[in-house]
Amino acid sequence: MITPKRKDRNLQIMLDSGIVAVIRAQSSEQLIHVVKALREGGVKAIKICRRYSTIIVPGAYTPTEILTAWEAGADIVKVFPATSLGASYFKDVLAPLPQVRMSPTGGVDLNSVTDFIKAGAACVAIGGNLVTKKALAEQDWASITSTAQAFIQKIKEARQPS
Amino acid sequence: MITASKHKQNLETILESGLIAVIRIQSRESLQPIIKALHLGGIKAVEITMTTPGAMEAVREASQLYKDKLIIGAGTVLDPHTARTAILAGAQFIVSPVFHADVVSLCRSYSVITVPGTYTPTEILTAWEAGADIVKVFPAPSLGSSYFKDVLAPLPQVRLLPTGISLDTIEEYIKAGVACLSAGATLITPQAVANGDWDSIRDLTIAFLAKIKEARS
Repeated sequence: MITPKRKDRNLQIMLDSGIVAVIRAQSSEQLIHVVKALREGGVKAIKICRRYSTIIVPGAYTPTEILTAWEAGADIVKVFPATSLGASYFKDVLAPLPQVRMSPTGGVDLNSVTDFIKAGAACVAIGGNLVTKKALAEQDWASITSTAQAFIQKIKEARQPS
Repeated sequence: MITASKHKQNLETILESGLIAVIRIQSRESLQPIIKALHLGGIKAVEITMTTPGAMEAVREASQLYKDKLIIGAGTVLDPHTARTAILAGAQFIVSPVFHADVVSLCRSYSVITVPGTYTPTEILTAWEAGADIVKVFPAPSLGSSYFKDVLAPLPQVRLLPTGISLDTIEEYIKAGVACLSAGATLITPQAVANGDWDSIRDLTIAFLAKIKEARS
C-alpha cells in the first residue's frame, strides 16, 4: 500500500530528478491505446489513482485537455506526443497556466531535453531514446546507464538559471 | 450592464479593428502607461490577464478610465466564478486559454463576448456550437497559419482568432482567413515594459493595425 506521505515523497523524487524512464516491453501500438484510453477515460483513471494515493500522470495534448486533467487531480500532466508540438508549446501554455506541472513525452532526446526543461517542463519522460532498441538487442546495459547519466546531467544544467 | 445591442456593437468593433492586445505583466505599475500607449496607438480592445497582480481592480480601473474609448476584457479566465467577478468589475469580453462550457454559457447569460481557447478542430466546433463569439486557437504559433486555412475549408462559419501573432506573421494569418488576432508579448514586448518605453508600444500598435488593414485589402 502507498500512503499519502510515501506518495508525496515519491512525487518529490520524480520532480527533483526531472526524468521518468519509460520502459515498454510490448508494442508501441499498446501505448497509443493506453494514452487514448487515458484521454477518453482520463477522469475515471485519475479518480482511481487518487483513491489509492498513486501518482497519476494522465496524457493530454491540447490546453483544454491539460487543464481538465489538472483539475481532475493529476499530479503531473503528460503531454503527448511532445515532439510534434515543440518546446515553445510548453512555454506558451505555461504563460496562462503556470500552476500546472507538465511532462513532455514522446521523442524527447539528448538534443531537445534542454529546450523542454528551459520551456518550463516539470520533468520529462524518455522511452526509446533512453532504453534504446539497440541496447536491448545487444544487452548493452552499460550504455543505458551512461545515457541515463547524460540525460540527468543535461536536466541539471538546463535548470540552472541562465 | 451590457445589453444585447452593446454586445453586438462591441463585437463589430473588435472584428473590424482585428486586434486584441493582451496584457500579461508581473507588476501593476506599468499597467496604466501600457493601456495609454495602446490607446494612443489606436487599439480598440485590451485584454487584462488574470495572472496580472491585482487583475480584477485593473479591469475595474481601466473600464472606468476608458469608458466608451476602449473595450476592456479579462483574459486567462479558467472558471465561471472568475468570469462573473470580471463582468461585475466591468469586463466587456472574456477570454480563456481553454474551452470551459460553463464559462461560455455564463457569458451568454450576461451578453458578454466570450472567446474560449481551443486547439483541435473538434474543440473549435464544440466551442462554436456552445455559443462562442470568436474561437481562440491557442497556442497558434505551434500550428502555423496553414492550419487556419485548412480548418476554415470545412468550417467557414467559425470566427477564429490565433494568438501570439507578431508583425511578421500578421499577413499570412489574415490571408488564411482568421477573423481577428491577438498579440501579447509580441506587441507589449518585455524590453519595452522593462525600459518603460511606452512610445515603442504605441508605435508597434500603429504598425500592427496598419498591417492588418493592408493584409485585408
